[in-house]
Amino acid sequence: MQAALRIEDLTKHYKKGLREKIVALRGLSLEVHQGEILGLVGPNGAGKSTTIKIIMNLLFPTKGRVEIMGINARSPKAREHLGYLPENPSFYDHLTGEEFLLFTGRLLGMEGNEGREKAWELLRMVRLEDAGRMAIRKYSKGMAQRLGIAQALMGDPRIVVMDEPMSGLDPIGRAEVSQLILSLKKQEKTIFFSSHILHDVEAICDRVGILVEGRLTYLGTPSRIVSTPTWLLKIEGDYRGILREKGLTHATMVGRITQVEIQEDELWEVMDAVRGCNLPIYSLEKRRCSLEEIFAKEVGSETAG
Amino acid sequence: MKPRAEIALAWVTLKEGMRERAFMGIMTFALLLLIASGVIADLSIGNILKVTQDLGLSAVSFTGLLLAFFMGTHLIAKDLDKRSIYMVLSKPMGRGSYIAGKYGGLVALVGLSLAFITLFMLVATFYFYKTSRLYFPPQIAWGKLVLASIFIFLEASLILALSVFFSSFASSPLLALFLTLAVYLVGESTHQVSEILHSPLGQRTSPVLKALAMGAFYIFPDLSLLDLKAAAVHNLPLPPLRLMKTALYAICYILALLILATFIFKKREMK
Repeated sequence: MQAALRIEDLTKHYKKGLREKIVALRGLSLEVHQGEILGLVGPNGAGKSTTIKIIMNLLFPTKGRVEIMGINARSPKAREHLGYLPENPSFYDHLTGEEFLLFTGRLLGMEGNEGREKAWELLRMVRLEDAGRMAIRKYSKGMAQRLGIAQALMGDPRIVVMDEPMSGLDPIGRAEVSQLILSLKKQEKTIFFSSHILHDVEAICDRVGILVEGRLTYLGTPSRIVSTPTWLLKIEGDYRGILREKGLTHATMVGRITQVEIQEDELWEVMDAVRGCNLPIYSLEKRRCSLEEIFAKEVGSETAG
Repeated sequence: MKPRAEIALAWVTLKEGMRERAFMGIMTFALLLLIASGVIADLSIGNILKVTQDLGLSAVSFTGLLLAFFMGTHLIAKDLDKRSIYMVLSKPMGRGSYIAGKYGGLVALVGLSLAFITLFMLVATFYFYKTSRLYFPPQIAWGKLVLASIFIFLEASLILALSVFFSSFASSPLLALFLTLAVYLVGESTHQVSEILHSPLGQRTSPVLKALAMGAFYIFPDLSLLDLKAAAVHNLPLPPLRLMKTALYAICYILALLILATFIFKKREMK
């Protein structure tokens, strides 16, 4: 099956002054399959928006290429398959919501009633039917975001690309956008979006990519990351020195307790060593890493590396 | 293939421009200028009708220039600054279509405004013509007045093309405005400079300076060719062939600027 979106060895340098350059992306490669939701997460400056802007042909890659349904993203033809929601979408705000969608429809070659019908269908879908004839400048942030999603869907695209669709929204707004994204999946749309709100990604994505300093450090299912179990060993007293000798360099003190995280495959080996030293074990708990922790770990290891 | 996307963008640009405060300010100023020109003409010692026409056409020209300078750079800069351009460029249309649509909307905005101001000027002139107490009221060349306004529109369209061209790469609207203004000032004076260089006075000019001035004459638009105000007010002959050549010159210059703007804008990154 053809990938909906294929990114190959994408590299992007920004010029800073005459000699300096900033590397925003370092050989990013990934594929988004048809009908899946893939979320790209990473801290600010990781290269998420750069990736999305290259997909939308707003920025040009220094190296590498992007294909949309097998078509080079540089071609306007590729954008026939794409709907795009920019971060903090900005509209021609003297227009009403309906007028803006009609304008979007005309840009996509829709004529007369076809555009009007689609506009109202989408306004109903994003629950803006009552505000359809209101000037966009009077919209709240959440309403503007929903209108942004509606305009992205005007041409019935197969792939919807969203840059931080939940940023700046309150919890209700975020839940609404999440529901909208899930409803798009039911319509067999492919969704590719960026976010730094990991909880939202974890909840709605089929796959997650973690981008750190322009490099993809993880690509897989959120459940795979979340369900990877680790163990938390607590020992009464300060035994960091002994643990360090046993190779557990990341032991920390919380109050009077020494805490150390152990991977499942290392558990018995570590426990034998701890018992061998007769350390006063306080507790041993099985725990699951949240996406936040994985993310922080990825950022940490990248920075250290 | 119908240019639907370009027309849609032009329409939105026109509507957006009409709601701009700067536009309303310029139009109010133009109308006040026209009313004031009637009062000034009434107080003048000379021929009231000639003064009315002269001041009226100057008001039309001034309005055209103000609109071209400010709306041209402002509306594109606003798109880039507010990033509403993302919504447009993410659709399956080329960057050239964006330039064409935006320019089309700006030309429509300036064209409609100038048509309105010209109509106001013609009505004012007609009023003074009917109420003048001159023994020998001069014949008013109505057609030439309209023609002069059309050429003012052509000049404004050329300045709009300049502002679109500079906006296609300038990092700030102020820079685009400054560059447009600079080219306008050079374009207004190249003809006179060329005449001086071809006069006996020009024989004494250094060859390097002469070559530079002539280079500027060929590169920059000769805007004085588009100024028919004096000919219209004084009812001087306007050979049709000369008018056609001048109009063609302006249109070719505009097309060249828009093609260049498209070429540059295609390479511009939307950071």
